[in-house]
Amino acid sequence: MATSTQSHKSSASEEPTVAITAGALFYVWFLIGLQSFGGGAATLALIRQAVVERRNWLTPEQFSRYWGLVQVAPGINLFALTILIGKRVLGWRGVIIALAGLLLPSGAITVALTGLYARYEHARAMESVVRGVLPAVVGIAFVVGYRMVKPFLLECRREGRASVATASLIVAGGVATGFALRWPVVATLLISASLSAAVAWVRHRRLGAGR
Amino acid sequence: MNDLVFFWLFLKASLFSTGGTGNLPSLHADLISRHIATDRQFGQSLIIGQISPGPSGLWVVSLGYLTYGLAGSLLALIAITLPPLLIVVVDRYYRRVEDHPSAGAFVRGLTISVIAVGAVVLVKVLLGSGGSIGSALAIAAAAAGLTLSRWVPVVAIVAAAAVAGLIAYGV
Repeated sequence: MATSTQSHKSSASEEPTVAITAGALFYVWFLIGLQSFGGGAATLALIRQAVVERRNWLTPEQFSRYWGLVQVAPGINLFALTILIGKRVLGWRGVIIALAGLLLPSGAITVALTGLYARYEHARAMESVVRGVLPAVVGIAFVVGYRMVKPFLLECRREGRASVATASLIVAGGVATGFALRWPVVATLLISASLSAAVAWVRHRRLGAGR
Repeated sequence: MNDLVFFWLFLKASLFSTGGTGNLPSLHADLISRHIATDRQFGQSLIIGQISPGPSGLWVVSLGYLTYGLAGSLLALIAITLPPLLIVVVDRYYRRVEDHPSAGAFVRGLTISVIAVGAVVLVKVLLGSGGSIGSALAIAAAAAGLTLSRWVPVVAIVAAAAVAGLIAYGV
């Protein structure tokens, strides 16, 4: 059923890879996908436990390197991590298998739950539940956002006035964009990101090679 | 509105974002202004995303289904899966890019911006939740406090909120 194969070496400097079956790869990501309830940090821990601690598909250093690298990936970091690990283990086939395991079963359940919800949407009880749960989900989302942004803001404060000013400008621009109905959000995001990168570049030049 | 436009809006939002709900601000602006989705549907899909298994980005699959059926859910799923594939290109051609001072700062600026816009969007979604605004704010604050404290798992908070809603608004 599952075929065994050697994974590809992506460059000469990387270690020889181990034989892993397609079935095992799918199974691992299938379990990770089904258990990912708590959000990013919990899922990351699940991946690390499965891939590094239990099966030695990656060393801790390789995992850390990947996690650092996916911070600059577009889109969802955990997807990028899945892609990198899948590719390392079984090449492009591994990418598809890992993503499929992670997303298809839980995606199907999500669609099924949505269908179920839509069926009972107008029931009084369902309406009441939504009125209770939606504000809670928003509150949770605020905390998740805060936890995501706090280390960055602290970093800005450590770096000094220029970084703090840049961050303040970005926050102001973001809030304004939230209220402006016609302004493209992506423009604000790109301008903010580029501004931050430019300020960092100038700072880097000014401080010399050592940060 | 056709498949391609729908797909592009989801793809665009996911391309310039980080994290599971980084695409919320852009998607919200685009879908609301084109009357493809309502605030209510955003709220509903965020709830379903919270309670169903899988990484946090799957809420858009729910939104895709609510607004455009099964095709919508598939298009949304593909749209969030494509941008992260670019990491392979980055890894191949840009050694140690993540150590470049501007790369980290780019992501930092992007993240702060996403969260700032997202905060406003979340408030809009909150106000569209139905029921009294006072209760909604109280529940949001309580849920935020409990989440911050880490004493109570998120699942329990959501369950408690569901019960609170049933008590407050009846069955």
